[in-house]
Amino acid sequence: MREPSLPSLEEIVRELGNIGAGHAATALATLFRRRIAMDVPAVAALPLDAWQYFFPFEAPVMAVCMPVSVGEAVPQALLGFFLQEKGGQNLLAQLLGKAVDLPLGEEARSALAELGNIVLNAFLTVIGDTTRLRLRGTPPLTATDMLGAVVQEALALLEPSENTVLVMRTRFWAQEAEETFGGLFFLPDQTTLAALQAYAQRTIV
Amino acid sequence: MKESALAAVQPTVDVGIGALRTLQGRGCFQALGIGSCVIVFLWHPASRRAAMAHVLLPTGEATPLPGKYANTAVPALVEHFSTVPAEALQAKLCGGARLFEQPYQPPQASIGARNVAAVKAALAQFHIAVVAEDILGSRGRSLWASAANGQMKVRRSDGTQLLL
Repeated sequence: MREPSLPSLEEIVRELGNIGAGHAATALATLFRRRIAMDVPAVAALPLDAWQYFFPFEAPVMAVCMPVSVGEAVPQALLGFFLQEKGGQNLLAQLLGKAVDLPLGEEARSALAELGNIVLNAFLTVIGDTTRLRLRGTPPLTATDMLGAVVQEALALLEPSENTVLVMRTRFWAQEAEETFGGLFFLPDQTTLAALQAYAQRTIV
Repeated sequence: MKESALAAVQPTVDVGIGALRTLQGRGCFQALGIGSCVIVFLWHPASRRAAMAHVLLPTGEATPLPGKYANTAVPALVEHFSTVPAEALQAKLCGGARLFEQPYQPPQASIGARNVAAVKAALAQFHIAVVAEDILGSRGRSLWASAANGQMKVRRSDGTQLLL
């Protein structure tokens, strides 16, 4: 049996990912009245200049980005979620119960924002519970374009001081549809990153 | 990536957010998925020395990522060419788009436009000419740039391609 040890930040991200995915799938299934499953097959904690290579595709993605603040502070953290465009189109069609065209119309864009909102809030709750911080999400921004392009603009809006990004690959299944690949990323502000590291320090695995 | 002939050039050097990379004589930089960031590519034709920075924001204090801010990235790029007069360098710029609709914000106030303005102001301080650019707009871009001939290939997210 291996000796108990302190978990790495990456192991904490894996824990957040597994719990968050469960919460998100439950909330989505309730809202859209569809059977939905979500899992997080891979996670990492990476520097700002390398994170996007964790996601092995450059094709357009549908992305939802949510600036996050600690308490009443100005948002300095960013939580984001994206789906590969084709898979996202199929997933939105499953959720809406009808065909979805590209580029997305108003109804589909609204569904994407709602889907993102639910997924991101599920993860925000888990991160808040873990860090014991009062994290507040602000209205999400949506865009369909290259992954790096969308995310860097959202990052730039926050003028981030931290250089560590927590990333998770995600998979969704809705009803009988094929699995949909995407990802989730969190650029923590200084307070949240310190709280996550403190959580790792007091958790023996 | 594979569709670009430039990307087949070795070595291919990724230039992620905030990074600053250099090449001498051969090889190719690649920057994938550029939104509001601005890529600054400096090239010295005579020596075929090249450097690229991936600027996220207009201004900021020194950070472990030397390319992150325009005000620190441009001097750091110029420093790479320390034996060459800055006036002999050619600059090519790419990026500065605005992807999110923000109706309350005029285009010139977007982070992309501010990045472009900050990079140009910093280059002007060193009297470096911008010889080509593909900037602003509402599309993401990927690019590849050669240290051998200074060419930059840009692919926008709508599929259009440019050779700068």
